[in-house]
Amino acid sequence: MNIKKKNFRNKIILILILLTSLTVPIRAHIIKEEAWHPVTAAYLRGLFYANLKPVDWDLIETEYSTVIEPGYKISSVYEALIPLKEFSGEDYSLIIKEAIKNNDREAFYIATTRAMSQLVRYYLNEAKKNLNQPATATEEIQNAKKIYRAFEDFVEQVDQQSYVSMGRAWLDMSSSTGSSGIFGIGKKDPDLIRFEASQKYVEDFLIKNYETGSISTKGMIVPIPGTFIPGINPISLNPWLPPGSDLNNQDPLPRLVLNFEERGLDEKDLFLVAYGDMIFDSPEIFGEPARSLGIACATCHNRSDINKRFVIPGVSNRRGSADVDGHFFNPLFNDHRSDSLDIPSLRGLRFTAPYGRDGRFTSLRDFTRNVIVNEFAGKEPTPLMLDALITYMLEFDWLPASYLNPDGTLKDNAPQEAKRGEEIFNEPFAKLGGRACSSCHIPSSNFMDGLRHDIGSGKPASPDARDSFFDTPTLINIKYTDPYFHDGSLESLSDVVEWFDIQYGLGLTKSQRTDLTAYLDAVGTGEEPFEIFDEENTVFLLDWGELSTFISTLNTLIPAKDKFHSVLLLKTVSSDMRLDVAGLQDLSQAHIVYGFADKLDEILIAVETEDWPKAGNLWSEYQQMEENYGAKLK
Amino acid sequence: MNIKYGTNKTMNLIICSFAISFSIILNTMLLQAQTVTDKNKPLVLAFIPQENPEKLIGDIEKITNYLENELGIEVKGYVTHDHAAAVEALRNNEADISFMGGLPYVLAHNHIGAEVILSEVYRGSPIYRGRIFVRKDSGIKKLEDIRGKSIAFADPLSESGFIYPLDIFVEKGLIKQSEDPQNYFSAVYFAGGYQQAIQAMANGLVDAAGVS
Repeated sequence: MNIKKKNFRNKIILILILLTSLTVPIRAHIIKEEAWHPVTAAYLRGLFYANLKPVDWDLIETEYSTVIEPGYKISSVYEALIPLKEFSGEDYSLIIKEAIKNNDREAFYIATTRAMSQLVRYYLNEAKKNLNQPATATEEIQNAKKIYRAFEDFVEQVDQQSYVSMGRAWLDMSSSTGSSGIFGIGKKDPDLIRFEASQKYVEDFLIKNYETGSISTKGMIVPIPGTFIPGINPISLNPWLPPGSDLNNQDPLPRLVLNFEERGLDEKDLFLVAYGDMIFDSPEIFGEPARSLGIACATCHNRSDINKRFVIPGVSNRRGSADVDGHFFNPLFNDHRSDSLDIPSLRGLRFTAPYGRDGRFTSLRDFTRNVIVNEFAGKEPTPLMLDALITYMLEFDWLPASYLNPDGTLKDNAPQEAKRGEEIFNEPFAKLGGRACSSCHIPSSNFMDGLRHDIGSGKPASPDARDSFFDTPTLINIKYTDPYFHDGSLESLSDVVEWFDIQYGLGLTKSQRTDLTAYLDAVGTGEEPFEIFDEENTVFLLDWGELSTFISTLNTLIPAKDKFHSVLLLKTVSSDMRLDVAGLQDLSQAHIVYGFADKLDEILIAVETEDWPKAGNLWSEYQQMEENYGAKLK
Repeated sequence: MNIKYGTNKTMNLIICSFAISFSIILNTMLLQAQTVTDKNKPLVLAFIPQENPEKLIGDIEKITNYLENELGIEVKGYVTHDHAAAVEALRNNEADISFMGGLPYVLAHNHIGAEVILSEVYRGSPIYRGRIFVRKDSGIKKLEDIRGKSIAFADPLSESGFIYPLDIFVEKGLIKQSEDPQNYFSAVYFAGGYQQAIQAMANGLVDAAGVS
């Protein structure tokens, strides 16, 4: 091997080692979520939007005229439907565009659903034509399957038998394509008879259930099989989210700073805090659809901060935002306004009253109840639930602010440009009515004044309407909470500086803008903003530690024979524990964790039947298990 | 849904040496020509559709961009139709490097002199295991319980998605070497991929899945 070649090769090896070491998954699950085909995703999103009130037809049109999901050559859904002109003789692009133009839900549903069904059949037909080329045939079958996926979940919910038969038909098709082998080894001929039989089964099912008959769309429009057959009424379905939704925790995970922990106290000694911590993580306190979707306070206010990844198309106007008084979460609370709000951080909550972006609640208790009952359709919380939740949330501290003195002035260690920015921040501007930035963002008061102002960031109902006042937000820790403003319309701190400069004609120079941005950055800086995971602190152990704390409240609840709050606790922890298995470093420990969850379910049954001695015994057994196995889990 | 680990085994030693997860295979014949003098020729990476192709495209871009910056030469990457096409790409000088599993590698090594230069280390180990997965509520407790039941594999040309899991039955003496597995199971499916096979099991379409 010559030297140049060897060096080149060594370099490649080194680079590839580096590359592969970069992609260590934090969480792995045995079944990964499959990527969506853009046409399937757009179809389901379109239906999701069409089920909201009011229907945003512009959003629907955008879905069909663009492609969001990556990896496909098509530039719009309409383009993907072009082959159907020849296949079925229908120009679905025209029909769908017409339905959207006329804001006609029924026509839109029928056209899109028929188009999807026929697209499945088109791809299967292509697969059949290419059956002697296994790779191509397989790809076409997979394309067909990806389109059929739009219907599959709904078929499963209403017709389990068809779901299984269809599933096996798909397996038959993928098994009948044969294989081209490698260098002739492993070559397998296609099985045309098996393919055709399963293709016919799938086609017949689709034609019968998704292409013929007529429908009524008074209620929700969802592609349940038989929708087109008169007399079949919509039935109750599990809540579903459109493709592109993301409720997961963000990575990196914000670091949670709890005051009692900073003071060296153990949460297990603080019953209300521990129980409130559990409620903060519990979807059980909400009504549908939030509960079934696993949405809890912590979903959005992740580790007391924010979840930048949170998005539900049609509900969020961007990542990290949600319209919590729209149709989706609670139709009774629907204000019929498209007013998606940027998720606010709850750090420093005990100092940030009033609550709500426009400060509509002076009481945290009122605010919290409104979130549970009105925004997320939950039942009226008990006084204990509210007390616990509030006690817990009042422990949320800001990250220690590295550059700030207690009075809010910058420390000597702050960057020079930030110090120059501090002067601008405190400088009165004539265009601000003789006020400075610091007049509202009072440094000695955690950069708030506790008041509401109309700074021109809202959209008033009429030019002179006084309805666009917003609460002065703190600037502590804001480095990590982009985007900014109530609607998340400004991406960065420099955008905020620029907005004020332009809005108020402050006439800042470029370097002044830079300095002011540096100042905001310094004020917003906190120590160790994100959780650091390592061998000692794994994702699983963080979750496990929390659940152990939650469940420790049984020490209070079982002796008190408190059925209601015990049930809430056990349901929350048991289901959370099963989900947390995915975070285990050593998946062979999964059965141990499931064993813990099963024990909790046993306690739940005892509590529900109010067999308190048994509940107490089972709880002792659980604690013994914790002693035996808890420390071994990782 | 609860999924438990069913019977599993470590590959025997001979197979194990090839059971290198997603190895990076270098076409050495081609590399001999890859010297500084032909720096203008792009380095081509062929990826098999191990993951969903859509996801791969994003990953490929990251890898090729990174390699381009580090090597200072043009680097291209593309997804092949299947395992066979990746090997063919190496043979036909359409690709210099490919990522592939054990069986295609053995064939590529024997036929065109391809070499392993790197293997993925997952959870501290460069090897993987073929396993049989069943649903926890299936009532299946041991391999023998799967007799007469349905099973989904990934692909007939996949070592970890067919050959190794099937070998678990062979080693136990349940299926004879070279015997048609159809004799043992009620139905044998090739779902088209690991994920599709395990999904079919999890969704109750088949009783077991044999994948890695």
